[in-house]
Amino acid sequence: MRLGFYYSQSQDWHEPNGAGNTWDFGADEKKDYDQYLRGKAEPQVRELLTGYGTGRADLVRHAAHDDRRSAAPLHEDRARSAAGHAHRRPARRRGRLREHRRQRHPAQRQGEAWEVPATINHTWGYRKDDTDWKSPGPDRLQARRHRQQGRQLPAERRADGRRRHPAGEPGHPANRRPLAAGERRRGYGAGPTPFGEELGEPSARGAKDVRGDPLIYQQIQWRVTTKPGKLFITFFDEPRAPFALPAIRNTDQARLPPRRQGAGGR
Amino acid sequence: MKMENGRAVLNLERPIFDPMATVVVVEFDGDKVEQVR
Repeated sequence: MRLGFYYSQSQDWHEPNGAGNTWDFGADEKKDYDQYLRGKAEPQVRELLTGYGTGRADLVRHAAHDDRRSAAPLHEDRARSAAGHAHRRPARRRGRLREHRRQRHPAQRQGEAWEVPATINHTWGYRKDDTDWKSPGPDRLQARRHRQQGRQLPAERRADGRRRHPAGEPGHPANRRPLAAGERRRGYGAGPTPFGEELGEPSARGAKDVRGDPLIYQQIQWRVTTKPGKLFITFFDEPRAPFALPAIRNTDQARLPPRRQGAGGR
Repeated sequence: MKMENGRAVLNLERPIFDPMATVVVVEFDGDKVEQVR
């Protein structure tokens, strides 16, 4: 088994010239990013790529500061390692996905494939005391979206190597095999919602959130995915009243799926 | 499911099959949903 590393550079709250920590070290624009890059990131990457025999290093670069400036040395190090390579997040590398803001799913129907970097608790790095797991509904939503895009939900692990959450357990819907491109073309994968009203809506008053972005009221009670001739409606809350679908012309029957009823998605 | 004023209305049994996530399949004619706007 080969050894892999995830190296996330640029954002470094510990280093005075790393990005992100503006409360201790001031605005990012005034920092000496080169000093951070040459003094810390590059030596660490070099060590990862060359210091552990045949180890493989999967390097994930963050787009911060001058990305072109930071790319070259990483690729030089790539050349030094027989097995290493540097890339952006895998989905973005394929050039097929639009990346939305972290931890926040878009509340409007998207006309293109997309992804949201998100955690299943509240921490990007490892924190033993962060056991506030997101509830199963949103987890399954996230898993469904990943499957729609033919990808697996990223697994998170404890310090001892065990997976951190049932979402990462074998057999969990989030952990099913991603669909191959041919399977998606043939309609095995789920398509996006034809509606969009179930996702939520922006503030009618034009309010902003604490980050200055348009305030979105997201809804997570139900979601829809599609295949030719079928709508798959997943309820994350129990309907307490007759549930009216958005008006469509060409339907007259509904049923529970014959297999895996209530499994949470297709 | 029944149709009311052109809208498909689902009456699901309570308690719901899986409170975490219950999937209902609605079949429609053709390949694409024809929405009424």
